[in-house]
Amino acid sequence: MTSFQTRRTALYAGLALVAAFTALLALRSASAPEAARAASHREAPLIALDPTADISDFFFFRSYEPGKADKVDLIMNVIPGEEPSSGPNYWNFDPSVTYALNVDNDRDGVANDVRFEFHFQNEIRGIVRDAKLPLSYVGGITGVPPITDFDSVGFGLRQHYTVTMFHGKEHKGQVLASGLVAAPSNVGPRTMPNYDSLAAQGIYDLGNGMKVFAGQRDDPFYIDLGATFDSLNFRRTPPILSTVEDSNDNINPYGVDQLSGFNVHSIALEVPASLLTSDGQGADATAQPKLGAYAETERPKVTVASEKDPAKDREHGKDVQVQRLANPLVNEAIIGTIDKDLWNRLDPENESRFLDYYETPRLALALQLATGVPAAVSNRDDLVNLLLKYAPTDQRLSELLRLDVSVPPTPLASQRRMTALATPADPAGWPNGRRPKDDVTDIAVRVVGGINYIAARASDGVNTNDVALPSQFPFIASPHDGRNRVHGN
Amino acid sequence: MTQVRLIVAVTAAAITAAALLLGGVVRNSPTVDSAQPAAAASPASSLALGDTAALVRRLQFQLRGKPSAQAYAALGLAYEQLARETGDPGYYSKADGVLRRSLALTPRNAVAVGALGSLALSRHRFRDALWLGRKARELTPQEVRNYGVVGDALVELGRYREAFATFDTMAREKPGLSAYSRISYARELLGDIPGSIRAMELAVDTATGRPESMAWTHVQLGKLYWATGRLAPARREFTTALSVFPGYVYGLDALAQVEAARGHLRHAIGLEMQAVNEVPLPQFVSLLGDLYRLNGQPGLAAKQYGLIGVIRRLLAANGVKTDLETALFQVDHGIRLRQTLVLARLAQRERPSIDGDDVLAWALARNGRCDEALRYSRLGLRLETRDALKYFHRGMIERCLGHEAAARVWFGRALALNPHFSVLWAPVARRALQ
Amino acid sequence: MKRAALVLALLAALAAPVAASAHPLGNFTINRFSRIESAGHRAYVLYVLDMAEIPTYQAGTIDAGAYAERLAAGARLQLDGRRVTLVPVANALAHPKGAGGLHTTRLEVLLRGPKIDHTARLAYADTNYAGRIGWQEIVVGEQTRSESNELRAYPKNLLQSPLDVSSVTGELHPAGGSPPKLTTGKALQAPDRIADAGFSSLIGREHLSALVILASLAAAFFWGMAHALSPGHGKTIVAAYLVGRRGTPWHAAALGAIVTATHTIGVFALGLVTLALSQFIVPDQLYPWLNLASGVLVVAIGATVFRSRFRQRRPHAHDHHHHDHEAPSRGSLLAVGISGGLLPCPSALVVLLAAISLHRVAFGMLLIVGFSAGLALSITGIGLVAVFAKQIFKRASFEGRLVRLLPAASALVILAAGLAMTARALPKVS
Repeated sequence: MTSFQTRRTALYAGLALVAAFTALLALRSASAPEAARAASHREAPLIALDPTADISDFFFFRSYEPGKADKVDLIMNVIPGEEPSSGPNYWNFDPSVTYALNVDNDRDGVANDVRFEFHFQNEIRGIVRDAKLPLSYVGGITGVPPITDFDSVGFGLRQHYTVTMFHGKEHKGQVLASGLVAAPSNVGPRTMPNYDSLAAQGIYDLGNGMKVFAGQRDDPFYIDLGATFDSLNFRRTPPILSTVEDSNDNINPYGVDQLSGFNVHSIALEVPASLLTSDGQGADATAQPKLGAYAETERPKVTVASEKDPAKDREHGKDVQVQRLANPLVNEAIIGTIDKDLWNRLDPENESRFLDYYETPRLALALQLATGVPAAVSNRDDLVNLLLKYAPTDQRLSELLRLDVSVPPTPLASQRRMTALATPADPAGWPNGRRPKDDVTDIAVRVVGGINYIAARASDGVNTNDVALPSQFPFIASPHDGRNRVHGN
Repeated sequence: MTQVRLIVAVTAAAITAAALLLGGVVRNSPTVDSAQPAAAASPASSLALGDTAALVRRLQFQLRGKPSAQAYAALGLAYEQLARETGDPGYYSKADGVLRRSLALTPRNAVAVGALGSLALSRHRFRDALWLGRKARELTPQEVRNYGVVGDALVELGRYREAFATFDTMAREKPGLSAYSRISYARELLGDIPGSIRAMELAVDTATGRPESMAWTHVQLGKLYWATGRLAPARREFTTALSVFPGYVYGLDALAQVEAARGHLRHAIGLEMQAVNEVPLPQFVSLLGDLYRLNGQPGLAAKQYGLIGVIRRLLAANGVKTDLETALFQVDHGIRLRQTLVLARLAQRERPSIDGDDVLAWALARNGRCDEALRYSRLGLRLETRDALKYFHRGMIERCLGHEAAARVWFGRALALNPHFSVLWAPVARRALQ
Repeated sequence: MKRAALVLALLAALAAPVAASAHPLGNFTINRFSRIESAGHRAYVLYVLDMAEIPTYQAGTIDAGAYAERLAAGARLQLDGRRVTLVPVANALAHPKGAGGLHTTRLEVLLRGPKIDHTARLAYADTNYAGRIGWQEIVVGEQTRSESNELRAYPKNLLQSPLDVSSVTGELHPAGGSPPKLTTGKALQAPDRIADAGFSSLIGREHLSALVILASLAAAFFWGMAHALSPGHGKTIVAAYLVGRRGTPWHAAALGAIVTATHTIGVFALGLVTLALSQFIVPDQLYPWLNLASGVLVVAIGATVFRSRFRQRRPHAHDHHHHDHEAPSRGSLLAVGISGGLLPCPSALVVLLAAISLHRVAFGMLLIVGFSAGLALSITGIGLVAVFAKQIFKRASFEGRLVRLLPAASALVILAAGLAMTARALPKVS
């Protein structure tokens, strides 16, 4: 063969091989309908959501229960979006999670001055254990009376918890109470005919002016969730309230509260202000009334190599922080998607690495794009001062929910959802601490949007929760029951 | 003229290479919409927890109105979860379709790439899964889920050290169900059963509120007890799984094994039949056949064994030729041993994990090639996993090589670990020790 | 010999059947359909059971009558709040071919209910095979459309989960007429399970009878011919090349054939590569690179041709008489042919991909070959025109500078075309 022919053959061969190779490759990986595949490899879940460690809200305020103005309340809500009818196990705290509340009382931006930890344990008892029933709660049927107290025989899955308090850097805290029982999920009127009185047994007086409650509650957050996160697709154009609408805190002018009908799990703690302040003085007397706080969830860190001492696997000394929450909507609306997981792992005092998100809030730009109204999109030192500092002169940037305990509490009936932006202003709400009533969505939209949005009274159109708020501890309403629950939309 | 020919030949070869390498990889489109507020992931999908079907319906409705890469990717993930919950593999195909659409809209879409990675795992395409998981990790290093995809693929490819390091990172960055269950598996592979149990107990705690996750973790925990011969706690876990998720096939199958071990053969057959009628996975069908045989119903056993053949033909028709599970079945039941050995070799190459090594060892042993079998059996036990079946295979290999004493040691180990380790082979081990 | 073997191997690889699973909903589904209707002033339920390969195997020999009785028992119909009895009066059983040489099952049962003389409230629940994975559909009314065409064709909609309707309520209006008929004959084999609208129905026809194949082939052929006239198929290059290289009609034909072959192979190769890569890479991104490569190749060829033309013009007296020796060699023909047909056009690609997705690969390939043949004919025609045009010039026999420059000019045209292709392709690549 001539050299030309050799080369040509080579060309043919090359092309043929390429085509054959790609044909085989394609045949191997061609997508075809599935047949049953054996799952001999583990196929462990790859869940991104972690509801039991998911903090939905953190409230921090001076008690507005009549006669309790010297108390401060800290409430963390977890497991958002609880569908009330989720039998047979319903919802519970996670025994592997450390639920914690951290307080900063010396204005250094590091919330390591006072800390409260909550640990839960499961117990299967009563008729559920004895008869090996596939349920967590049973009652109101022949042979099993309804569940009316925490020792009822049908109260199958019972959760105990311990409250521990830490001061400063101490490793071993002081156990404030143990063996307390968490109020169970509201199953329905047959199993739990008088849920309110059952849950009320979960309000514990620890003495020394301290109260604690843990259990299921109605989710007090109200927002037109779908509209807001559908790229600010509010249901009115432009999304603004009239003066009359804005001053009516009991209506939903054009939004739909898409969290209506859902429950959460709450951990509520009420303590005398003097327990939190650095000088041990009461709310009106203390020289340093500005406190900062945040809620967090932690889990034990484990490695493939086990600890030599088995007990250490669950030891909370080397827990990993899974989530934190101080100011509302920071993680959802200020921190970029790409940094959310990282943000959750860091402590609040490391916020300077996220400074750009505050100085140039994406939400402001989004509002501007969505509504066409100019927003304050850059150089937002005001937001930095509001969310990350006690005073503009502070050096350290720390994302804490700050409460000035010297500001007197506003009674529930007089509370304004727009707090400082209301007319007349209500100074006892967010961003001065946070109460369940505060409309953080509207406040955030206006404050982040800037003066145009404040003037125009921008809003998501939802002004109120679907359920009325109580005026006493634990300040959040009873949960919807599983049998009769209704979602507003 | 030589030059022209040369140009043509070289260029023709280079074109394919260029198209393959360069096509698509160079594009640099933005992954995150900087002007949008928080992604849909957190608030919208945390509504109605535990109700995947509702989430799927919501996303389908949303997408019919307005297609978006994010929503397609989220739907892909939801379909994958639905496939786990219903056992219907059609959802894998749907997941594949919507994830491709997501990628068409936004090519460097980390969520979609990661979801394709876990999809590849479900289809047992472990090398693809590794590639996809790594790619997704490149795109978003902070997304911990992708570590799981990468780690799982590495385990099935026999690269354990890398896999365990990945799991450690996962557990350090985001301790939770995904991480704890993998740490548990890693510890089990290394023979640390108590550690494995502790980690899986943590996983059980984290699964609150999600029926499929709760059922899965309870079954895994139960299997750890079962593997070490603790029948009562195993039974307790499997029953709990079934009460949380009635009809959970893995729970039914696991409970059937326990009931068989307790001597309740008819009850075991009933449970296994339920599992087979819901999702006829080869390992369920195989066990049902073995139970029938044990119960003195060879005709019914043969029918089940025939069904495995049918499943194998369907897999082949779907382009799947290297299935480890059906290879194991054929070896166990002495079906066309020579051909099965070829199949086992292919399967092991595809999946060079300790399971692949062990199945190949067993296939070699049944074909009389016991020297080579010994080599693979050693590989299969290289992590010092405490696995009675692997011990048993080793015992048979030693016996085949004439090492009677060593064989007895291995049979003893197997039975000591789990006296009921196999419906077919535990009796064989017991007889060998008499 | 070796070459033939290679070509055969290539053809074999390309023709190997792509995995086909006839039951799109999975091999172990049991799909159920009920149509509640009225005829002859009676209530009827037409029940269809569609079992995939695995349950069919598990069932063994099916006693249609016994099955009908069982299905009747599980179909719970209530009229005006009272449970009514449904009696099976007719059934039809078939075992359509499925995947892996196995069969599926299609069983139609006509269940007869009581007489009705007024519009009744109905409540119907199908409890057969409860909990089993599969399509479950219930419609009320004789004319009501079934999404799956009574389990004959399941829609492939990514944004829709399989129907799982196991109970309905509604109203039943009495109607006259004869009882509903079951499907008979070939239709009972229900071959067309994959319902796709639009273009792919061209390929997805139920029966590929010889007539249909021939007709489709002819259509593809003419389509290919017409397609050659659309821009981008190297016609310019071909024509210019032939003029430049003193082509003969044989060369024109050969060039046409080479373009066709390249085109066909290109479509196949790209189609399969696309399939493989489409898991990770968006296929549209391949095109710019291929365009670029094509353009570069053409530039190279044009430059070479031009250079050899240019070299020729150096003063060598006897060269003027040796025009005819510059007939295009096979190698250069090949080069031009390949570059001309290198870029497969998207439409051909779509045909191939559609064919593969519908598991009619061989048929799709046949269409592509027909398409390419039509393409070849057109390009050959154009090449012939170029050849004869040149020959017309030759007969005019002036040996002016114009004639001498023509080949060089044609080389320039090739070069220019190549540069244009490259220039067009470059921005799309970044």
